[in-house]
Amino acid sequence: MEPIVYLYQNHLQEFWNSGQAQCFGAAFEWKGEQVYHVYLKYPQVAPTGYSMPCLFRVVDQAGYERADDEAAAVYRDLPSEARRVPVVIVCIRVEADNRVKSRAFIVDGEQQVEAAVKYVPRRSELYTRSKGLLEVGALEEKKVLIVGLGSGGAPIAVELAKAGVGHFILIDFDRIELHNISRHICGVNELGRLKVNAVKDAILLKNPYAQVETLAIDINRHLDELERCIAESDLTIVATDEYASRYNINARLVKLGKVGLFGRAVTRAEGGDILRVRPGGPCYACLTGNPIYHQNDEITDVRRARELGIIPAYVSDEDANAMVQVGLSTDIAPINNMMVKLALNELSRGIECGISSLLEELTYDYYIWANRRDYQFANWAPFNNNPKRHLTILRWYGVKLKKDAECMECRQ
Amino acid sequence: MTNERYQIELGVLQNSTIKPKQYRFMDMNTSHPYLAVAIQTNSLRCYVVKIDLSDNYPYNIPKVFITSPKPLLTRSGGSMLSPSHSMHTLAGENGCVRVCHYGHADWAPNRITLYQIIIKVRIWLEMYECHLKTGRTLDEFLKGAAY
Amino acid sequence: MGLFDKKKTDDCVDLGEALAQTNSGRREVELVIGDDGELEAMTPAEAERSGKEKVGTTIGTKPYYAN
Repeated sequence: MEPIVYLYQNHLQEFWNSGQAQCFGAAFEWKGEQVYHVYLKYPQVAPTGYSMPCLFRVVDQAGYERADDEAAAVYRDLPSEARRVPVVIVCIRVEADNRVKSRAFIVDGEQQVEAAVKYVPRRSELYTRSKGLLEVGALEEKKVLIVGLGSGGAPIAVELAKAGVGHFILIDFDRIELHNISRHICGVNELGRLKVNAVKDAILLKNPYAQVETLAIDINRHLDELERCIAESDLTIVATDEYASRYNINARLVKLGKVGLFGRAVTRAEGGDILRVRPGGPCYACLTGNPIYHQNDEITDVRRARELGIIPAYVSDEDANAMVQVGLSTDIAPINNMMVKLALNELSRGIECGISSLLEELTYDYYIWANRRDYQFANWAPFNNNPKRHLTILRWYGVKLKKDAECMECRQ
Repeated sequence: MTNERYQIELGVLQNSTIKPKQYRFMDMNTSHPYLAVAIQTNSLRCYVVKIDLSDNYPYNIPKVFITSPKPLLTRSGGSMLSPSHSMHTLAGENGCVRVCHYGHADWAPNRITLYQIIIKVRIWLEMYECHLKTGRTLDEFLKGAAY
Repeated sequence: MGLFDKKKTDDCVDLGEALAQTNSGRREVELVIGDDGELEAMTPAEAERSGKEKVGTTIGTKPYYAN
């Protein structure tokens, strides 16, 4: 199989502009797959694969045509230590019309193989290629604040990046821990990392040109900073697992007249709900004061649940452990999916695009979803025998939620 | 607590059965504000209740302590500083018994005010005195309460 | 909406009214500050006798909370 070398077009351009004739870079190999990613400067996201030496050389037209000889010569001139492992050598030529051409070789001792060169395009082209239902160019200027980067906030962040959202503010003070792994987008290689950094990387892997601000803070203790972030953003995604932070965000959304989406899974992710807070509509406190609202959030962590008072202090450790009932990632996915749809709806208001028709249908402020007929959904109708079309599982219900006229948070 | 919320709380208390001479907001411009309330039970015994407003009130459920008499004891003279489901207490602090009032599932910051917490504590105190008379747990009395 | 069988959360208002009705004219309590700086609760008569400082709120006259 022919090896493939991936080069970043903007790196090559910068190297050419610098006027240097030769320089070292960094290459990373997907072992056994003959795929190499080659960088002239260290990328924003830690690269994956096994590292190996790499050298770039500018050549003239003649040198480009006999680049295999050039590469062999470059390799011979390398110090012997550098030649202990295979080396990637890239010969670059810039045409009169400023078009960059390059040929790449994998050299290992006596063996030299030419690789096919592919380019990761510049920002403008990346967006052109991802043009689809959404006018991604428009969303590129949108800024989304995401508070809470667990199994809800993290995948939503990545989906929004994939849809072309260009600016993010991420807030979470937690780190990736072992109990997160089965449900989080991050893997074991990221254990111990701050979630804001790990999710920032996940966003940049989808959109290397996204602007991402990270804040590893407890918003309940940094309310001015929270207010600044909400004021700067077009939309706030509330994916925290804690009431005080939701109320603090809600108070500022109301104060600033901003839009926010509150999403969560309940108890053992047997279902979930989403609230949209918008100017003039019901606020989060209107919802939690309403009998329709079920207070039992999903409990995923004993220590945290104890801190928050969700598990009272008189409950023994044994009983507390039994209360931790983690839902499956697949049960949280529908809630995240709907959050993303509602987020794109809000962000693309006023923009003609392929999802505009949804705006006319997703007009509710509150949505409920059930995965299973358990706990508070136990009295819902079965999915398979429901002639009277009662509430059932695995579909969204929009709820006309009224503003609480007595609400101490949002009444005028 | 914002100033707007403070005004709402004051307004509710002003229109309630709690008289102004019974309560005072303390240390409001510090990081440890609280409401001190004097409560009298049906037996005419007097208690001081401290409602801690330092941790994001009203978004977090405030801690409530009986600061006088200190410490409250059970009928048999035992401590009430440990969390107890049957006595409706949480872990006490500084020798003060901490009362369990609103639970997590019932807390709604836009509808519940300090006045309602005071009423709940008053109920707790009445039940506590029933416990002193009979030795039965608060839980047994509260289960029979009409709410 | 009745989707979930849950009580309203403002049930305490009625209880407050019920308790208020049990308050007879002889019931009165006052917040005072003791010699050790700790807050105490006592009847107005006891407060007068003890000479301790009364610290209850006088609504609208003191700016307790300036923000």
